[in-house]
Amino acid sequence: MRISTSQIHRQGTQAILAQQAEVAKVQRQLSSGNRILSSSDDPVASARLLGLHEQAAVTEQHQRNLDLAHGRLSVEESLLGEAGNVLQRVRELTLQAHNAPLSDNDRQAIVQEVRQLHGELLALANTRDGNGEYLFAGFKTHTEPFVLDANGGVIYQGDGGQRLAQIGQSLQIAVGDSGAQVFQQIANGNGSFSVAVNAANLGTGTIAVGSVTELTAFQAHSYRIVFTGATTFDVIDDTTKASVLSNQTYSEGQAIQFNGLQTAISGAPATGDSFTIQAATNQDIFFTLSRLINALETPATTPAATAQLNQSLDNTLVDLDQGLEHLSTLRGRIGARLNTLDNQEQANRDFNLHLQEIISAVGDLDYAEAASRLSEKLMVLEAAQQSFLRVQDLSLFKFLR
Amino acid sequence: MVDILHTGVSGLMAFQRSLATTGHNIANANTSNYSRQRVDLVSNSPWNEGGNNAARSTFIGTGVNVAGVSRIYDDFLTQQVRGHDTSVNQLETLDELITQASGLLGDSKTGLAPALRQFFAALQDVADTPDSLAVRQTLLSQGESLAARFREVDNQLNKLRDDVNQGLRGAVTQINTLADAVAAANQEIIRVQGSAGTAPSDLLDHRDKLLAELAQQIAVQTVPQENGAITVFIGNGQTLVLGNEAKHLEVVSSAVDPQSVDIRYQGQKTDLSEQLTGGQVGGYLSFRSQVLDQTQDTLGLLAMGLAGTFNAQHRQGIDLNGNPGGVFFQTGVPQILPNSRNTGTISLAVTVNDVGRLQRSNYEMRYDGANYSVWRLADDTMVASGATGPFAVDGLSITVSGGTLAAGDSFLIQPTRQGATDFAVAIADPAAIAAAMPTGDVGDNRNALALSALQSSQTLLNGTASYQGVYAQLVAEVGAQGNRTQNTLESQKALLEQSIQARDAVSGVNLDEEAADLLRFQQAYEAAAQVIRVADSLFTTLLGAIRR
Repeated sequence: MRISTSQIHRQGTQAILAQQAEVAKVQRQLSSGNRILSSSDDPVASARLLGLHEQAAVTEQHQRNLDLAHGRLSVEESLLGEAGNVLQRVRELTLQAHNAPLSDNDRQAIVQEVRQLHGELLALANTRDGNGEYLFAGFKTHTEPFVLDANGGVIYQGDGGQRLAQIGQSLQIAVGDSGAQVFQQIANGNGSFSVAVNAANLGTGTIAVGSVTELTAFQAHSYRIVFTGATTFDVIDDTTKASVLSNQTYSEGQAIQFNGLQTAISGAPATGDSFTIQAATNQDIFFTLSRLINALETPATTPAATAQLNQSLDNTLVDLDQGLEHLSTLRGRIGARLNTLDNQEQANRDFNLHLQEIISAVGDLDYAEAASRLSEKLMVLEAAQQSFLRVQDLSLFKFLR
Repeated sequence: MVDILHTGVSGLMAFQRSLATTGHNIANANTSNYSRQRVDLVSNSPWNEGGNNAARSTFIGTGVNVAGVSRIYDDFLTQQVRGHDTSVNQLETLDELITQASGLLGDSKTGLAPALRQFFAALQDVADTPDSLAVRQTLLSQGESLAARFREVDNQLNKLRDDVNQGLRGAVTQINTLADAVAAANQEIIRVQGSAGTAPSDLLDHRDKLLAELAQQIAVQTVPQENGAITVFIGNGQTLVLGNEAKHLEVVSSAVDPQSVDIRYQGQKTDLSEQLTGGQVGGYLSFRSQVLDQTQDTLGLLAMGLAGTFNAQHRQGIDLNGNPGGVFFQTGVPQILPNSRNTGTISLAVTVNDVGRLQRSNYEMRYDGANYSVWRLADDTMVASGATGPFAVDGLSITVSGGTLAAGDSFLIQPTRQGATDFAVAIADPAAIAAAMPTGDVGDNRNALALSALQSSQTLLNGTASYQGVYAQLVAEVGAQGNRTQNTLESQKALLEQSIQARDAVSGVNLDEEAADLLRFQQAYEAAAQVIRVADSLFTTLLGAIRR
């Protein structure tokens, strides 16, 4: 085939230019570390990288959410621990008040400490986090959740909201519990029913906190045990107004059983004295404490008043036990959440590592491959340059001298 | 003896012309579109020594004669070069523009995608601490930088559209100039061929050069005429040059879409841009129809989709002050463009009912005198029709009211073209972010969580794509188009190279060949001169004999 001179020149320069472009591309890949310099290099991988980077960003964000959740739950756990300690101390004081024969003055000293513990518990319930958010106010994180009312009781101003954090693609976890749930939703009495002595009783009878003996027979009714004589009593179902037991013979400390529950009466009730049994209700822990304070402050001068005091202390003890159990259940639940966080953290970390590996495999440059490609291209470029020079050098005119 | 002298002189003359032509070839070795020339030598008619006596006929040669200078040329090969050159130019223009567009869209580290990720990360931070004004402010700032990215990409796409319009204007000016020049060359060739019977090679080469330049702007078909002229057609057989007359094109604002331009014959109405292919014009037009419109519409769809779905969820919540959530992102609205040739008027309203059902297409509403029909242009399908409307089409509601239209009137509807143009964060007060649900309070993050969940929900394109999915699809599409263009460009370049080689194998100048010719003709010239010297010496010998 005939070749024109300009064609020889053109072919030579074009080969050099094309090789230079190749070398420049490898050089750009090497200097950026990216296999894909423009989406046209590998459109499918470019789109995939977009998705992978989004997933990685989302996973990192989940990890940030998780760290925050971890912080909040740890704080809550330790606050609940402290609240438990407070209740434990109150329990000790209650026992102290119950067991020893104490003067009103001695009781006054106990009252002082219980009052202080009441304040301590209130401060715990109104704890704020680093951002100034109340931890136990539900969604009303800017509202002080527990305030004292005019009667010395406590009003909950928060709500029942529970904030969730997104810690995994489809996993949300509660990062707190509302004040109502922590401090108010505590069953009183033995958890099924509570007992009380009528304030107008003249005798010294007290009623045991009792228990449910037969769950299927137990009905959440209000009952009244009325002494018709010094040794006889009736049991009336106040809910249905029906008589449950009548004309029973009273003997001190002997179990009184009916409708699946069991209790006992001690002391010497007077005729007309009555005792009540009521289905358990939620009772806030502050009420338990303030009732204790009230009871201790009431002078126990008569045997009947002493009986009233002892009954109050008995009731307080079971209520405190309920509170302690409630707190430890909550702490258990928080522990389970923290456990979930730990598992999820591991999962997030693994997933992120996996994503980075894929991202690297899809988008990163294989340096060894690129380096050998560079030297190959450089060699071809040099060959193109050399051959161009040699071919250009050949001209018949050179010999026409 | 006189004959020998004459023969020698004819040789001298012939080789002188041959040497001149060789020199011309050497001089034009680097002239583009130059076809090498060759002196055609023929021996002169012999002299019959026997006169009329057939029995004694002896033919004596009388030297050489220059029959002409021929142009070594193959029209088919030249047309092939032109054809490949027009493709290469189209693809180069297209490739350059697609590279710009894909650079704009960026990858996983630049462009819109990181801004989208950062916005949603900031949203989750709000979900973590919904009552923190600082964190809320960060979300607003990230929202604003996301909006700024949307507008920036959109703005750059508009710049590309301006570049396309500018490029088409430039190319059409060039085409008009070249068409004039071809017409002038035609005229000259007709004149010379008329008087001399043949046209000079260099004039034909000049016209070929003009045609080659024309082909770089637009695909041309050429038909040679008897009189030496070449008729030039563009598109589907639209005449550009006929004999010595050139028709001029012009670029005008489109009757259908004022942002775009039409190409038409000067003073005429029909838009030719659908028919034109090849060259830079073809590159600009294919970029506009295959990449730019789609890209801008998709970006707009993403902006409107994000705004629509995000706002809908945001309205479900309440803000830090307990007020119901308002519009978070504001965005563009569907564009309605009446054809500028419409003779009737109506008021047409297009609203988006459901951003999730929006499609990446424009629509045309046509009126035939009795009924309206709505056509989806992406797949050229009629999607609604009727005498009154309203028409529900792909998440859009099109209502017609008042006025009358004439048969043949039409409207172009671009649902999402302006979506990103007007994309912005609508709220300025960080407290106005509705992170809570209506039953909650300042610490409630339920709506923030619901908003976060939108990031991975497939809410757009009929529930097939998330926000990021729409964008990734766009990046992949533009990338694939770039990839395809580059591959085709490579193969077209190879074909162009081959066709140039084939043409140059016939027409190109080879200096070694010319050097050999130079030697050959020089030697022949010397030989012819020697013949004259011999003739002279013979003559002297004869005179000496007589003088005695």
